[in-house]
Amino acid sequence: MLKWYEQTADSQDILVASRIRLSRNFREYPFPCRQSEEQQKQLLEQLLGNGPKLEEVTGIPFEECDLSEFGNTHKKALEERNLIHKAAMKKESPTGILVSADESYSILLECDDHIRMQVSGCGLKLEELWEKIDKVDDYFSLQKEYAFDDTLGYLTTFPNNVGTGMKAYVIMHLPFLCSSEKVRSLFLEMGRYGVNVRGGFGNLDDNPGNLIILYNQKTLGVSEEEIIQILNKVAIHIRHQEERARRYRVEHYRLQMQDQVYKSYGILKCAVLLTLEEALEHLSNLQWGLSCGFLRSEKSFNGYQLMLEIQSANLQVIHDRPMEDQILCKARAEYIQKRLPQVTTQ
Amino acid sequence: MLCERCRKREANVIVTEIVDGVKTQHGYCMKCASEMKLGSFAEFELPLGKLLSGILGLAAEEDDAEQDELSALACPSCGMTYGEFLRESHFGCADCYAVFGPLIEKNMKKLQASSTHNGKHPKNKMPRSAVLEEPEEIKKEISPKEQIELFQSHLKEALEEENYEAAAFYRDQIRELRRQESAE
Repeated sequence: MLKWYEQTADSQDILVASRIRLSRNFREYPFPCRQSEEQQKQLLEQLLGNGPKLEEVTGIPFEECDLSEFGNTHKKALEERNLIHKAAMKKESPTGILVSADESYSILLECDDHIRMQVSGCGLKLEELWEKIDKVDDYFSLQKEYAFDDTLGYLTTFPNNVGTGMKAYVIMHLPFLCSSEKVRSLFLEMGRYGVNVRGGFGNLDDNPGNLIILYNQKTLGVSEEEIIQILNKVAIHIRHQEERARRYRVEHYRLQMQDQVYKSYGILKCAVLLTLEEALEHLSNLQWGLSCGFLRSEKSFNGYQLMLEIQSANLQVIHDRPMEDQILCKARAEYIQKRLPQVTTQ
Repeated sequence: MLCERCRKREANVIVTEIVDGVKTQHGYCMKCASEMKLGSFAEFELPLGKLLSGILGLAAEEDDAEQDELSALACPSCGMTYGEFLRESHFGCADCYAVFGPLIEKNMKKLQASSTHNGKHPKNKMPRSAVLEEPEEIKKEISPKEQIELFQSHLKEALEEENYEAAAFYRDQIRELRRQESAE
């Protein structure tokens, strides 16, 4: 089965992907941080057995994994594909995960909260994702009583998730806004609407790949629909800004842009060694080069997929062996070359 | 001046060291200072949650004596103390919200948009008022018609109070009773 990020029919250049995450706990157990290892194991065992039922709910088969059986590289690869977060990667006590075959659903068990479920999809489609995760949430709520309070909503381990327990994310590719000076004030302004921003790879100042992630700050006092609405509005507004910045640059700096795209394609095509940062930068250039029409390709190009797959742990899992830096850079260059689209120039 | 440690980046953290009365100054870049866990730069690695508890417990921190007393306050269900809550930035169980909630209510509002949930309710949970007002025994003793009337009055009350979850619950109950009645 294709992974969710491989299924995109059209190139998702600016609005790359969306994700919704819900944090849930059960009333009858302490939160994982206060559970004994025995309690954690017991609850984990019960929760891991839900795979077949989740297949009925979602229509996609699920794999049940005990994270403690995974090596560090394997866990890191899951983190690189955003299936688990850093805390889960570092956790030593019993933790499990239920992952759908297309990796669109990932349900982390016994980490910060008893359940941390998420669903991802290409493009901007938070409503659709909310409908999907809502069903999974309903399924778990019928298994055991949730820790829920009429005033405070869903009770979570961390106070910044209480209420809806929901974080919604929009992943955007913003090469032109990122390189403009105005971007800071734009991001600051978004804070006023309750939307936070962070870099996809690295921080906002040093962000190779130019991926920006928008997500809601607040979870209490706003409904799930309101969170989605505001993120949709902000994401669409940002897309317009990015498109304007692109039009301006194409008009005024055409040759420089063309040169940048051609060089990046050349490097991706011929380089023997590629660090992650280099690869991300050139993949980002190739992605916008194709969508601005500097290069043409018959097949659609999915830069985001390559960005996910060429990360260090992921490459090591694909090759099924540990690799030193230089070998990794070589493997990365080869991996990209095999998947680069055939292009024609303008 | 370049960082003494990596000799690559500009030094912008100056550390004054006094050993046996001899004062020496060292310059490090932010990255090295953070890696060497120098002063406040060590805190770069703190997760967001740790910063949150500082904000959440801010009001109580003003008075040290009161703070000490509060720190010992513990959740009867999981044993977590208020001091631990402030240090670790997270709750230990659902009951912690009832124990520590009132202490951080004002600040919770600062952290979040409001202090009242305004979203989805779990599927298996009836609105609290509805569950309390409708014990099983009463249901069996009265006729379906009376039951409908009772629910209708509850529905009206719930609507007046703008408790829409309860209203929806009574509406569905009435619907179900009417359906049963017509089936009979």
